[in-house]
Amino acid sequence: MTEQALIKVDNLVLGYNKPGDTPQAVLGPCHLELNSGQILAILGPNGCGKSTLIKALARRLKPQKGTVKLADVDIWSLSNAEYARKVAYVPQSLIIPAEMTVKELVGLGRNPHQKWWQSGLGSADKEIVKNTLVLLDLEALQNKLVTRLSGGERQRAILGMALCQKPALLLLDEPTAGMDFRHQLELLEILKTLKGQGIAVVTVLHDLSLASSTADSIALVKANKNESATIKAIGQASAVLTPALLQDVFDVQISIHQGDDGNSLYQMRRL
Amino acid sequence: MPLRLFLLTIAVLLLMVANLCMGDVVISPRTLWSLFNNPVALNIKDTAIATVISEIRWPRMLTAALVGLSLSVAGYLLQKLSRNDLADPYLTGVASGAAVGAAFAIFGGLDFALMPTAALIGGAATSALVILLSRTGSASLGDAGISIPRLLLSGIALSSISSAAINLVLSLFSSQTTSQGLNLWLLGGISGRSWSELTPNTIFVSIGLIIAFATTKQLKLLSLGEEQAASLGLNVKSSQLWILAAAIILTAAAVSLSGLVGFVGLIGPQIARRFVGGTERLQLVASALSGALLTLVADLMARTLVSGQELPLGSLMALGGGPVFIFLLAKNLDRVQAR
Repeated sequence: MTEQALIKVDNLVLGYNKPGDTPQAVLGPCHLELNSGQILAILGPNGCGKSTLIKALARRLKPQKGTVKLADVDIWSLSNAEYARKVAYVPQSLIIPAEMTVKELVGLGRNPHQKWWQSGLGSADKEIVKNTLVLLDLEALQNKLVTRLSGGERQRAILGMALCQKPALLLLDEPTAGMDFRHQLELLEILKTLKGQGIAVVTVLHDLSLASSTADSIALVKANKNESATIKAIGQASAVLTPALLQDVFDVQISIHQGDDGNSLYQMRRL
Repeated sequence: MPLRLFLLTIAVLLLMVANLCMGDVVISPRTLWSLFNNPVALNIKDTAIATVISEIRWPRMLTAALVGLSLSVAGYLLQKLSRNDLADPYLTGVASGAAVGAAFAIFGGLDFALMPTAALIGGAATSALVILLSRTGSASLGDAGISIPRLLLSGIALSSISSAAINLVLSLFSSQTTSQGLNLWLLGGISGRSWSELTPNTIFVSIGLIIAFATTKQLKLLSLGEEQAASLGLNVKSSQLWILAAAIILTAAAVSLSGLVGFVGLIGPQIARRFVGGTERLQLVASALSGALLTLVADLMARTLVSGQELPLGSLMALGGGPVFIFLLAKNLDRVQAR
């Protein structure tokens, strides 16, 4: 990758500090780079630190060591608003107040582009919200309360909020969780559209087939006994999603088949 | 829902008129109208009534409305900020701190008129301490600002300490008449409030309301959680401090006027949120109205239930408001389950 990498993770060590305890690393040291218009999928077994990694990129977790740089600037040196104009994060779950509608939630994504005293949306903001609602198939739901939606619909509404931030980098933590097949595929289509617009995407995924057909590069995170997890391999799907590496990381036997659309299909068996 | 907001407004206006008309001397709304509309044509008896209304009932009615409005808006801010329906102005320690301030003023031999100021200082000092105690110590959370659970916990702790201190002082000086004055004030009474006490507090309440209305967007963002609000570009710490400042100013102003009137800060916002709903701004207005409504009803009852004697507003508030709240809650439970 080139010098102009949008996001550059260097020697990053992550962990959760408990007061009084000696800091224990959960993940790292790890390195990764991502350019604009690229999709990186993070894969790995439960509890290996995929979400931890994405939280560090989302500035929810301060690194114990190392740096995360966005366009050559340490993300921790930016103000909240500066950061939010460049990076949007869709967490696995979000508290949403009972009285908030889909349109209201999506509109909150415009906040980083507004002054603190602006409480309503301007006409340009409204246009962006409207387009986002159309893109995510949320138009019919826009006046519904978010808390009354299904899990997948909710996830799309939260994604809508993130897209309204008009970020250069979009971070997704298991975005397909709770979505039906159609919306999973539609989501991945949307990610490809965003990629076409030059947006970089980092997403935690579980489905190997979806990851290999969507992502430009894949990071495989491996949990290690008695020490912190590491990125076992990073690169194109064909290089990373090999039977040997997958068996090492996931502890299952995986065979790869060619689907009739040219995509890889992964069949797994217990060891 | 705007229709319900409109009904709430009408109810408050009707109660304001009722509070002016009712009392030891009852007059009709028509007489009230003529007293103010045509003061030149009054006879001597009517002039006396006009004085009673303009010098006693008017400031008292406005005090009741102002106290309810302030506590209810403060409660709304705190409930939204803490994402906890049980939060109310008393949990932040403001009220008890204000009471300590007032106790100092009374036993320090200060003029009785200085009590509201002393209450404000006591309330602000306690809140500062509570905020200091609730600063989050976790660096990994980044700009997370104030830990709301810690805020509520330290508020409760400081409230208990303050109440204990006041009770101690009260029992030590129980023979003195000043302690009776303090006790009466603590029970939540608003009798004898004059225009001169009302004016400075109105200014404080206005400042609190302006901040509250200016921070509705911040309130909405914070309702998604501190971390998500930060991810959406909000400066979490300063937003929390502004919202808290509004709640503190409103509570201190209310407490200095009326002593400890509980419940309205808990129920006012509940009524607003459950029965009016809508955007934060609408709910803020609805909270103000429902708070005023509650205290106006309670004060009307306090002055009229037992003729020739006045009941403490605080007790009536809880006695009257409690069952109403339980009724509303039970009724609303079905609606929630039906969803």
